[in-house]
Amino acid sequence: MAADTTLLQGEVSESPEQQLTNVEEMLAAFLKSLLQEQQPERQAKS
Amino acid sequence: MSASQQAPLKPIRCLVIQLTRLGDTLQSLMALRAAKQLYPNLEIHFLARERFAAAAKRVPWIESVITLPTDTLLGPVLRGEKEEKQALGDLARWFAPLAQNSWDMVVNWSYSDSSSYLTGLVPARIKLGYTRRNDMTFANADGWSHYMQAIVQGGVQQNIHLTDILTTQLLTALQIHFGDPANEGNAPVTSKSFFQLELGISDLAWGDSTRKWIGIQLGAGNESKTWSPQRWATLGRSIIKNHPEHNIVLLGGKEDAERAREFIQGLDLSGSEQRRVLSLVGETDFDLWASVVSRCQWVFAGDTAVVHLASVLGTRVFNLSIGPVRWSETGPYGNGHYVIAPRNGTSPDELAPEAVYAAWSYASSEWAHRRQVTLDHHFTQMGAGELLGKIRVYRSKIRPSNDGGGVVYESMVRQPLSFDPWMGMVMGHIARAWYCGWVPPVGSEISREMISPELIKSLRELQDSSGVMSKLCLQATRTAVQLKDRSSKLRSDKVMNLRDRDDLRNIGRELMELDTLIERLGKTHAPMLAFSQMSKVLMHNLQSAQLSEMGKESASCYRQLYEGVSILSEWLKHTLALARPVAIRPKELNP
Repeated sequence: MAADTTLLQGEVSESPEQQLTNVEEMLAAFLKSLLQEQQPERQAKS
Repeated sequence: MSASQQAPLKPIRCLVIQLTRLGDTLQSLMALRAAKQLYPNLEIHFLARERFAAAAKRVPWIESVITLPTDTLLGPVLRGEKEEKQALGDLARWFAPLAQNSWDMVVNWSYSDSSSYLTGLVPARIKLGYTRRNDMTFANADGWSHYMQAIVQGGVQQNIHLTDILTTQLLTALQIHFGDPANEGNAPVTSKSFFQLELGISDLAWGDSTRKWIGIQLGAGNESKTWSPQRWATLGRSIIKNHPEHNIVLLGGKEDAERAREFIQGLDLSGSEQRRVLSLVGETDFDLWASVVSRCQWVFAGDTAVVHLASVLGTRVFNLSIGPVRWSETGPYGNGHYVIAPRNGTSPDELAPEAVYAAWSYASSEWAHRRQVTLDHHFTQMGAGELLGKIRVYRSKIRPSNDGGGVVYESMVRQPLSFDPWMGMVMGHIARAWYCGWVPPVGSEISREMISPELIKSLRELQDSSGVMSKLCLQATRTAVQLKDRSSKLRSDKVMNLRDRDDLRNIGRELMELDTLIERLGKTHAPMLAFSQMSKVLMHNLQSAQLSEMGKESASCYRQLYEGVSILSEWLKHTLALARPVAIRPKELNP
């Protein structure tokens, strides 16, 4: 059985510099998600 | 022309995102070491949380370590001292250099929600792991990350070690995009010189270097994953009393100071014996900690980062697997480590210090008995025979690459196989078929003596549901192919005659019903969860917006599931056949 290389190659982009259009929105979501992850950690510590 | 003939090789600029804890960082470093040995032109930049970055900073072949200052970035917001908007500005300034770089690869090994945004943000030609699409929806960039989400994080039993998953994921992608490796890469990934430590003279004077040291890491991230100080003390006392050549060094953070005090009090030793126990609890930074662990003959620990640190450094580990732990995924990596777990349950109280001592005394005398003596015999000799029935003991081994490679844990106690490890083996086999294209023969890891009536009962129950799952996946494959065939004949996905529209609607409805049935089967019969969860993940990651392409992609996903269920059916057939009574020839009865 041969493995499917399209499954294993990852997400491929020929022009990565043009990949993203909504940097600010994505950064805000990243920050929110980081904060959410810290909350249970803090609660567990206290 | 092979990769080794192409000189000089262009660097492969690779950003590795590891935002979880130290244990995961150390496992990532082992996987990266394997990749670096095979692809010397791999230029690794490691991104970690500031708190857990020390290990990566001491690895000489890592090009740079980028730290995410989560404490200074998030702390003020969490304490209400700063607005989220201000923190966003700080985060944007931190992120800017990452976006300016041109990355060949971004490998996200954090497998967390937050890290997926970062992977989505960083521009790269190839991405592996969890990421985000432009519309910010979550995506799995590759097959192994489907597996991580649906199986490993989905709580399904599987037996491939995380270090092996990471290694295979990266090496396969490197091979696809950059060709065959420069060498065969049979060099070990662990070594005493893995880190370039910064040590002062006082750091080196912590203990008599002519003596043999045993490290004991008292604490663990979670209370339920380690012993009480009293239990550790009972074990420590046995070691000190019976092995005059050994000394004990206690390891742990400042938070373990009380545990260390109780341990020393519980030892109840004479003055000269007490001098053979040293506590470095709360006194070690990463460099000293790693230096001490590398000098130890053995390290005893529950499920905590020191298990991976000792693995990296090639120090033998005696891992107490208690609490909510899946040791086949996160146990010590390398040859000759031991994992000991209670036979029933996971509570620390189920694992007696006397049993741990007896098992370790076997492990530490391997040089003398060369494993020609069984663990059963050793326990009996020690008068501890009855304790053996209450524990499970495994010894780790790196399998030769011809047999599939990776770490495996061999049971040292002859005990019947229960359903969970059986399912773990099946899932490991399925993963190899899906992502490696190489599989061992079905059932090569099991033998007739391992099969118990309880296992047979569970497997018979599983037969019906796996048969149903197989039919569902096959039917879904056919229906998805139908969707592809019908829609590829259309000029447009939107404008079509009424008959075509009704036909496509019916096909779509049938696929949805099949999906619902697959999901329901996973909910009602736990072992089927592997396939229902994988189905969900695969369907979520369909990329095409065109009907015919979507049909093609869906068919390929259902085919993958069908292949997986077929392997499960083969395992069921094989195991049940093994358990069948075998007629003994009269000749054998009367030789």
